[in-house]
Amino acid sequence: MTQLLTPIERVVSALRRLPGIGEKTATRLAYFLLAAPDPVASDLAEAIVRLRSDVVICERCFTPSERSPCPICTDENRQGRQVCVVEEPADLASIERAGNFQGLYHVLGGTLSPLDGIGPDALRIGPLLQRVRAGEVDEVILATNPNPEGEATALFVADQLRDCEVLVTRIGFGMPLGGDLEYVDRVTVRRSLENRRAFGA
Amino acid sequence: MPEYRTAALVLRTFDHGESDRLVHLYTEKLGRVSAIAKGARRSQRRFPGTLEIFSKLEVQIVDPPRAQLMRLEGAVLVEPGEPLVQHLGRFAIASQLLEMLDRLTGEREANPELFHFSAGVLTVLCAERPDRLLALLVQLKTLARLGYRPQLVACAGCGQPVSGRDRVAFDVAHGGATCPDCASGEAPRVPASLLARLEVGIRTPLRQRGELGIPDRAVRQAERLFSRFVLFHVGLELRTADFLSQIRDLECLDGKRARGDTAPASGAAPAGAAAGSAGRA
Repeated sequence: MTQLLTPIERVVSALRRLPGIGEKTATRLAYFLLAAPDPVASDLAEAIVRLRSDVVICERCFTPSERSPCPICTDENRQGRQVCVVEEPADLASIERAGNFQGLYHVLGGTLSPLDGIGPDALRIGPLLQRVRAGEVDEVILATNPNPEGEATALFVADQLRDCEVLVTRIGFGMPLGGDLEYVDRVTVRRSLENRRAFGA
Repeated sequence: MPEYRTAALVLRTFDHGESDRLVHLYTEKLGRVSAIAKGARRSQRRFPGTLEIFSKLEVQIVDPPRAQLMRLEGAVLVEPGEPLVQHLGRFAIASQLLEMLDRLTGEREANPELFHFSAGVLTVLCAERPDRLLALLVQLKTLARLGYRPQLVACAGCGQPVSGRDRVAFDVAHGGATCPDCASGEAPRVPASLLARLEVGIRTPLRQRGELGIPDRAVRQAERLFSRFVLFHVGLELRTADFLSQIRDLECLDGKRARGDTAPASGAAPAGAAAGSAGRA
């Protein structure tokens, strides 16, 4: 016989599906929402509903936005001939927070990951190629993460662009701010030396 | 609390909670294990640049009593997998090896020979221009070491030699080559010489695969046979198989060098490669 979940169990069960949340955290959050003043739970519920109903995917860069094309793609003050390729929308947000990139973006929607069954067909590479082949782009900056999947994805995108008249660049790698040479791995140290530049340049 | 120090290959990593990482390792002394790397996502000092797939490490693992998972206490990078991501073909072949270790071996079933073979394959791959035969032979050699060795020169039904014939049936359900008396009607017929060369290939170092004289058309035929063989005997579809298929279509397994590939020419061991490890592959 199917046992019906209580309202608290339903919330715990729903929260447990979120990344990084286990049984204990989900239970703690459920009881917090139960005891919280009235607008906390209802505001959260409404915000989640609106997240799904009011957000669309930008038809040009594929980042979630309230409209399509998104405000970044339609901003005439940005350098439209420079496109930064990122894995996920969160990476776009990180670069925007840095505040020194004025070009446009292309969100691939993931990385090549054979161990997860994610191959070239699963990436949004076609629309990027269209933008480049249409002559809209002078430089493509590959800003995938410096891990094996991100490196392989950058290699794949660069390979797809090899016959296009476009400058393909890779974000720099090296010592992290606040890092310590004593604790940095040898690959990072080697890349830091390879990517060194003239002091003050 | 038991503590182990062993060589290990990183098979997979997953984010765990807000600051930890769950790591699947194939170790020399313990076989496949899963261990929690506490603070690996937050600290730049605890596991710097080590917990990436393909890395060969020296690890220190503890096994707390009553804990569900082992704990990774320390890791030193012995051989980075960096050259493996400088060519999509290499990336795909190495990934398939890791998937087979991750999904086809039992937890804590030590097999030092399989560990050294796998580490050797990764070392060889770092210096090879990948082609379809290389991908096929890595798969066959790994299957053989996992206990799924196909019958290639003797009938899988009665044990009689089949290598003297022109064409033989390859009956997946029987386990490979079959003589006319044992073969089922639907089994595809393949040149006996191809199976004989693959048998030699399983015992030949990967770097000498060119001496096998297997033409590209025959490699494609063998790929189809062994894809069915794996599905039947292993009972699951490898996730990396589709990736390999996609990059074959993109001509990433045609034996050419990729743009930006800084790996040494075929046959040369990469700097820092463990002496002797490539010899087993």
